[in-house]
Amino acid sequence: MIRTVDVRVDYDDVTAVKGLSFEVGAGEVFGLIGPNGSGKTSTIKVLATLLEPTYGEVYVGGHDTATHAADARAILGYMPDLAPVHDDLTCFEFLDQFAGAYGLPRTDRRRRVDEALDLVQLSAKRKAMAGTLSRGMTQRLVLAKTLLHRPAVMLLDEPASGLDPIARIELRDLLRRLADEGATILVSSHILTELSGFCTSVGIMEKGVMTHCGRIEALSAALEDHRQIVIELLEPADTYVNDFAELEHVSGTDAHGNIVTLRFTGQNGDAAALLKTLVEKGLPVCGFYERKRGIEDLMLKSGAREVS
Amino acid sequence: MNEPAAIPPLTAETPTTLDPVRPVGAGHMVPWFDVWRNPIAQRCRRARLRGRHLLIYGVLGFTVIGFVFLVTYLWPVYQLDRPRTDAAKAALFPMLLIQGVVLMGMGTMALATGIARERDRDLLDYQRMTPLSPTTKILGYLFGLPSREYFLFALTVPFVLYAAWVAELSWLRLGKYYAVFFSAVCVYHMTGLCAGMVSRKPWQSAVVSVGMVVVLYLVLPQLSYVGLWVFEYLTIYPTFFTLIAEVIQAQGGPRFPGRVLRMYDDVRFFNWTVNPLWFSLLLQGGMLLTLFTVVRRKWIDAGWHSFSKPFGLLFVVGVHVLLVGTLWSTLSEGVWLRRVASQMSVHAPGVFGWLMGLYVGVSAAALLFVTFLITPDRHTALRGHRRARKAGRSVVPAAWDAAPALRWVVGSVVVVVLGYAALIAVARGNDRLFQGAMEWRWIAAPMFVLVPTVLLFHGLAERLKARFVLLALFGLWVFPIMVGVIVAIVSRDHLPVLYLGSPSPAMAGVLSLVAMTFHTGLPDRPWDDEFEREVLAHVPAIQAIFVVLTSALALFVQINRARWSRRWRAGPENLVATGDVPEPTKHPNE
Repeated sequence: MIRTVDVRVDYDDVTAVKGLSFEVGAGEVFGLIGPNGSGKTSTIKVLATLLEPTYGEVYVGGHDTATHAADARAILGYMPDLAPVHDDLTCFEFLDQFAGAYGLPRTDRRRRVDEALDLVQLSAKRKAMAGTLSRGMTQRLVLAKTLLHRPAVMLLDEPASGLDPIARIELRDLLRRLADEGATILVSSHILTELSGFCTSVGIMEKGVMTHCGRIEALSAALEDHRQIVIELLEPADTYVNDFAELEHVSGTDAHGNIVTLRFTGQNGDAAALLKTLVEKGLPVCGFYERKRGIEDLMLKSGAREVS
Repeated sequence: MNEPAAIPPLTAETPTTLDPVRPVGAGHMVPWFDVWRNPIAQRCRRARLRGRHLLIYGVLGFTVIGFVFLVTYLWPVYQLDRPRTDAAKAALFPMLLIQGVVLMGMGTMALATGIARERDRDLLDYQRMTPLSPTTKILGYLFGLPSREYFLFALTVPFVLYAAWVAELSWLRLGKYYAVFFSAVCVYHMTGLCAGMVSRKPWQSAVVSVGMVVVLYLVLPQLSYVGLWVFEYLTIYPTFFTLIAEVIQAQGGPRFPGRVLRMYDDVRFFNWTVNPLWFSLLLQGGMLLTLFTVVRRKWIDAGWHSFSKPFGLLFVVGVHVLLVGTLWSTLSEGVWLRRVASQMSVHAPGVFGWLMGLYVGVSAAALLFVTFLITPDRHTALRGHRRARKAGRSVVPAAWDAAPALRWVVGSVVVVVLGYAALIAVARGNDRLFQGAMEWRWIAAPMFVLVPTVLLFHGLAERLKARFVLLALFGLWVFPIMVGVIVAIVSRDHLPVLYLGSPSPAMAGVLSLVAMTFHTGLPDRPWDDEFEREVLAHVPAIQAIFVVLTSALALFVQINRARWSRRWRAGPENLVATGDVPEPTKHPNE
């Protein structure tokens, strides 16, 4: 649904984005992560047809944004960072203007606006002036605007900035459900916990360059040469460290309290054999699992700086 | 005070009512001409015309307007025993004045500040993202943002209609007046919209808007008193004085100076006579088209130049058709001279010099303005080179914003020179105006000043950042005159000002026009020997200094610019090596 080919964005002497090429398939949730100033917002603005790249090709839903921007816009939903609203309109009026601007039939507009308000749980604020909403509610209102015309592609720039932790979780759940319904979502953030367990693939940007891109599992495999096996014991782990070091496929150990973390280079069958060996040796094992790597690990592994 | 309603959290059980994801709305777009159903106009009406607004503005507006009307209508009837028809005419004028202030003044400000505020808060991006056409969006703001002012205008309408009915004013005449009035209102409002779109900050938009309105509709019309009457037709004055003022004055209304009324009898454009109503509509239509073009381009992409290169050339052609057409009738028939004969007591050749000075001055302003708008700065040019290379082109296409503007500037200069030549040819045919010898070297001198000035400005604008262009031009064009003034004061001699100021086109231009007037127009020698010895005798040398210096600088800058482009075409690595382009990437994090 989204494809960029060698995109470059210059602002005077600064090159904000350089050589950007990536693809996001239909129904994917793509996390665009990177430190502040890494080129995330410029990338999203280019995808949203709001910024003309210095050069490069951008396709949204198969439409070339350079030549068919209007077609691309019809299937795009865009939520900017620190999303503003018209303070002098009620929530309903705010959404209704965009329902009209997107060409929703007059007979459907009210229903669709009410649906969108329901979806973001703002029905109670239907008649409230948008300028009186809290930060979190404002974000929800703009999200409702973004969803109003049922976009096939959603571009969300730091959607959770300014939200409290509960609101972030709610937002994440909502986006996950939208993705389940078939929407393609590209979401940027420099707060990694926002994206953990939510994105199906990620792109890591630093200094305007996408250093890594792909599905999280594939990236993990590419960036790591070992797995982390965590073993919980009933007794202090220090006394057993030497036993672990001698095991097959184990290249290192790290013991803290009753927990030992192994650098493990084997496959799943090897892990099962490892567990069997530990039990046969009589070690008091009460827990055995692999630590899955999150986006934080990916980003740190990729070498990106200024991680929040 | 009630507690605000609690907002239930989103949960996994929250029903999702979205249909399968698909775009909707195709085929239900509001057409651009349906302003009433335009979503942006609707939104503005909702925001600016709520019930409380209607109540407050309605009560206050109706009361004030009604008070003004009743006072101006009833005073002549009951205090002066005048007939009601005369009183109605007296009351009509303040109503029309209020309408002008409300729609042209307050409405323009509402547009400029409203659009700038939306742009500053990135709210315009929302609208940019919608699939409405740019024209629909522009019209939505144009008629939506001043909705409160239109409401106030509507409050005056009953009074105007009543006054026109009692005064027995022709409805056709009133209709014609309002045709031009609304045309002018659209031009003013588009000016506000344009100011809001091109200003960088909201507060700037108010200043720029006021500045544009003052310059376009107050300062430029004043040029009608010195020969360029055409600009007056951008305003409502000619239509008002032609259609309304004469009638209400003749039938007992307020008095207007006869000279003012006579000015708008007819329009002589080239050798044609044009109805003032149609001429106003034509001129305002041209202005509207120009402003609309700027707003539309800025709407599509805020980074685009205000004028495309072809439109810039078209603009120069349009301005010079108006200029030449205006001056043509005066130079060939003395139309303007007859109008303001009582105001002027100068020799006809002096008038010739003055009119040509107006042409050169306005042309220079238009040329520099358009050159500034269509010339890409260094970074835009670099982007264009990069994009063209990527697209496999060896040069940037001529019409791109990023393309060098030289050929378009040269085209504009040719238009100016042709217009100048046409006016000289017309002036030669007027025996009353032009009795002296035609000395071509003096005639051509102003163009020798204008051409290198524009080429130097273009070269600097394309190679340097705007602030350095300003600095360079200050150093070349203003600073020498300042030094000359100081030296002249100390030395008690005016020659230092003339010679030290010779690099300035203002000094060289004015002296060229003065010399042209005295050397070509006058049959006798009305000036004394001292003037000739102390000023005119030095003009050739000053012109030579200016032309040589400015031409050399222009040539240097243009060659430098061309070499830079050539080096880039040969390969960006050449420029990287010389530090001429920002590679490798300089990043904010570094």
